[in-house]
Amino acid sequence: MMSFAKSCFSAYIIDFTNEDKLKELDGKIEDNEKAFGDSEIRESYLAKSQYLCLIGDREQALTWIRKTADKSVALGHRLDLIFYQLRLGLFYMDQDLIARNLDKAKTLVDEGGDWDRRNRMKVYQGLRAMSIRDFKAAAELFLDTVATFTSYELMDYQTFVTYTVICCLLSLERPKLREKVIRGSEILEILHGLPLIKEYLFSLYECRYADFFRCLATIEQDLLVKDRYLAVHASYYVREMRIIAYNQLLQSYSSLTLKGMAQSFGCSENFLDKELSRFIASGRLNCKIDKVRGIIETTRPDSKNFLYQEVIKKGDLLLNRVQKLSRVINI
Amino acid sequence: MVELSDIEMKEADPSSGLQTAGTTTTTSKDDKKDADTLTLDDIKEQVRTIEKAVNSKEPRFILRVLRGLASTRKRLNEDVIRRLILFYYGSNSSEREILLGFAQSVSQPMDVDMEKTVSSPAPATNEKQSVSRPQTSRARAASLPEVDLYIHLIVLLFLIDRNSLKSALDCAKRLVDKTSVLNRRTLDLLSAKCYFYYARIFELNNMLDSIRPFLHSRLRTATLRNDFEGTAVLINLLLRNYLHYNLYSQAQKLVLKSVFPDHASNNEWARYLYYLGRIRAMQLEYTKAHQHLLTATRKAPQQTAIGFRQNAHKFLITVELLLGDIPDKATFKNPQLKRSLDPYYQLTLAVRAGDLSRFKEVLDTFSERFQQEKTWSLIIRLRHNVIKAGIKMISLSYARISFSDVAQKLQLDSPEDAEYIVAKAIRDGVIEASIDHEQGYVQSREITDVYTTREPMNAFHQRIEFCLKVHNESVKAMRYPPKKYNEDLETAQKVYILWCQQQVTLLMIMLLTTPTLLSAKRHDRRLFFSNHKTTTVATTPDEPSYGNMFSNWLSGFLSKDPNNNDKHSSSLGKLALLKSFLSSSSSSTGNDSKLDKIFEFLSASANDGQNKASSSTSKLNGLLQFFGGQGSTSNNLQLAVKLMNIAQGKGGLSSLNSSDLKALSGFVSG
Repeated sequence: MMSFAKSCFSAYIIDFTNEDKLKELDGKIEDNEKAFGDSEIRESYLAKSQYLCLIGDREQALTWIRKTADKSVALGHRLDLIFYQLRLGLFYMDQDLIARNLDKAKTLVDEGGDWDRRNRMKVYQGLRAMSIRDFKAAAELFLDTVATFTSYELMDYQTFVTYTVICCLLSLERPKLREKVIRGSEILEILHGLPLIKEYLFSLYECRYADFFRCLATIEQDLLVKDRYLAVHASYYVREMRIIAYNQLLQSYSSLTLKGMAQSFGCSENFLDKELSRFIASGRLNCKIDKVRGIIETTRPDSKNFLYQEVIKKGDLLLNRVQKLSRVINI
Repeated sequence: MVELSDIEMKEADPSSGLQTAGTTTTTSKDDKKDADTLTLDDIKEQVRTIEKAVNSKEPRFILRVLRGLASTRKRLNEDVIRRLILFYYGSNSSEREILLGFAQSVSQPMDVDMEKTVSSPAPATNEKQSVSRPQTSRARAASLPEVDLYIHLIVLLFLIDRNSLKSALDCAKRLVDKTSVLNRRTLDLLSAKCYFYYARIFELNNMLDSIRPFLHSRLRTATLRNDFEGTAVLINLLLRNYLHYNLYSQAQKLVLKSVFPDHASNNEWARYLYYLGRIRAMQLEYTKAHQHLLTATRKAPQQTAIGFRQNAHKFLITVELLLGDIPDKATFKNPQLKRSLDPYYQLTLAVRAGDLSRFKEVLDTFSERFQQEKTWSLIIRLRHNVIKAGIKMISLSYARISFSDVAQKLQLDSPEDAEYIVAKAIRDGVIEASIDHEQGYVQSREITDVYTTREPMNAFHQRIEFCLKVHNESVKAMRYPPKKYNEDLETAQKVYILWCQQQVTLLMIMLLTTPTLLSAKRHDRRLFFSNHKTTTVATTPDEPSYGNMFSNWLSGFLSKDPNNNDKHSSSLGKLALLKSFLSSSSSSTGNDSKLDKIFEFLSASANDGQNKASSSTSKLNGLLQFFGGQGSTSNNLQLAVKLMNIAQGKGGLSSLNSSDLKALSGFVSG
């Protein structure tokens, strides 16, 4: 990915060499078309498409990739080309291109892709899910491929593990988290080299909330905002993590003082008060604040009422659609 | 019916007619002519549909035509209008002149190029040709007041689109005078449309109040005549009139006194509910207003009528905020509504957060816009709602909270203020809580199980009622499918064939009992042939002369038969006569083989009298095969039966009429 970016910059400066190189490639293509067989032609097309990818000429690259795809017969080669297009789409964040190519890839892989390509496809899918805020799916896909990661063209292993941990912390419950991540041997191995992520993960798991908040803040500033896939989701992610942390603490207590909670989280009472009132009002936390006495009391969530509200809400949506259909009657 | 109500809609839909006027100078004349001809043909088709509607007294067809009005309107231009007027008003020249005058009043300010393309020679010859077409259908069409009204309406739309408001005013006045003259039910839908545009022109000219008495008198008439569409449109126009001038109390009185017809179209219902919602919102009845506006948005068409839906949603959101509910985020995400609803989105965010300062900010930024959209007076009432929303949120999160904290959170001036406001909120039922005055805090009550109240029952009852209503309406709206008609026709044909079989058996019996007539038949035959050669046979393909010729021939033949023995003459003789007549009068290049074959078959079947086993249906089928495989349509069937009857001596040549002969010669000549 970084090579794309770098090449883009270099392309501006070395524009004239592009033309030369393209002419050279075209020349090779013509030679191959005249003299050699299909696979050589395919190779030369592939070289040209790769070069076009390298210099960041998206439209041309896509056209040439399609031409190469026409020439390629082997499933593996076709899948490689689809991965090319996926990378282009991910680079430009072209959701449409990504979605289409993922579908194509899925069908091809189902037909008869080898395991290597299957795993690589999972990584692509997971990355895409992460970029559209579907952290749950991303977590599952990443966990599947942790053991067999080979997509070095997309990202290196460390980045991959970082993404995995970030997605899993958000979407997995504690038992699964423990089994897959805390006890996951590959992840543990890499985490030795990533102290920040390790601290982040273990602090939440071991209920050291003050440390957790500090790590979360660092991660937000250093990682999330600067990452190309997660930047748009940074505030959402951080908010969700906070809610998870509060819920985790509140689960164990029937009541606790505001002061004590603020201390365990390492923040001021005012801040905590604001946060809690916000989240309680939107229904994310199941507790109530008694400001006069400075206590927080937890309440058990009431499923029957909740179900009733759900019925009314979804029923109203359905009735909307029925009413739209009933317009037919008068005509 | 066509949906058109607001200025937004017009702005979003630039008059493409003007654009085509500009580009016609650059595009080829042929393209323009073709588009015009297509438009003209479409309009003619619509006029025919209107005629059909009048003849069959089915308003459905007129509805269909009116629905197509929006697209027709876009394709109108000077040329089409002129040709249309000339085509349909050839005979009635005074009307034509007036309408042409209207059409031309637009072209004067247009640039010279437009004139040139309009006055090109080709359309002129076209018009001449169209004038020379048979007068009957056109004259009949123009004489129908419906068609007259429709064409006048099209001219009016053309004038509105060209922004020539003065002439549009005159045109509209004339149009509306026309509608008041007659009392025909078929005119109802069209005149409803006319009223709508009449009011629209006055609105564009800023003269709305002058037409109020007129609209009232028409409303009275329409209600008396049970003209539901007209009543609906007129009520909506009056409401729009009142709301335009902010006369809410008068509008309210109108609503009280009048009854909106149930059978009006969905679009009229949508408008009515929208106006009703606005009136109720002004009168502080927010729940009802919300219901009305919600139904209005649902009844409105989903894909078109963007302007209407935008406005309805604006009011809907405002009323929801006034009720204390937060509107759903999904409505703001709708791409069609996104831009126009943006200030309302900001407003919603401010209200939801209970943040007074933010609310004030939004108000300041968008005050002009709100004023223009007439939601300003409703929105300034929202200040209380911001506070209420804030209190609600507080009572959700806090079991107990002191008033000073409340004041701080809501940015109020003092704890006493907070206490008063909270007390009022509790009384209004915004929150469930109790105030402890000494200690200075408010304590929320426990959330009770909603099922111990009556609320679920009410909510479910409303929804079930709605579902049942829709079910009943859809059952009432069911119609018989047209396919049944075909099935009926087939059974009728089968019955007819059975009857023919019965008849044929009867005449078999007759034939067998009249052998002595054979000699007489030969004489007749000779007589006829001599007659036939002397008559000159005109061979024009014209239908009336053909029919004349045949009837001449037949009457000649019959006159030679003094005893009127037509029914007893020989079948063979008759067949021969028919054959010779056809062979001489058919204009084909001697395709007599077919003719021979048919008559061979007929003679064979005539002689085949004894052979009842080969039933008449098979004979019929055999005969039908000669008819070029066009299947057993009812006409062919009848013709075949008649021929069989002649062959078997039962019927006479007089049973054939000129159209049968024509068909037969058609088959013969292939």
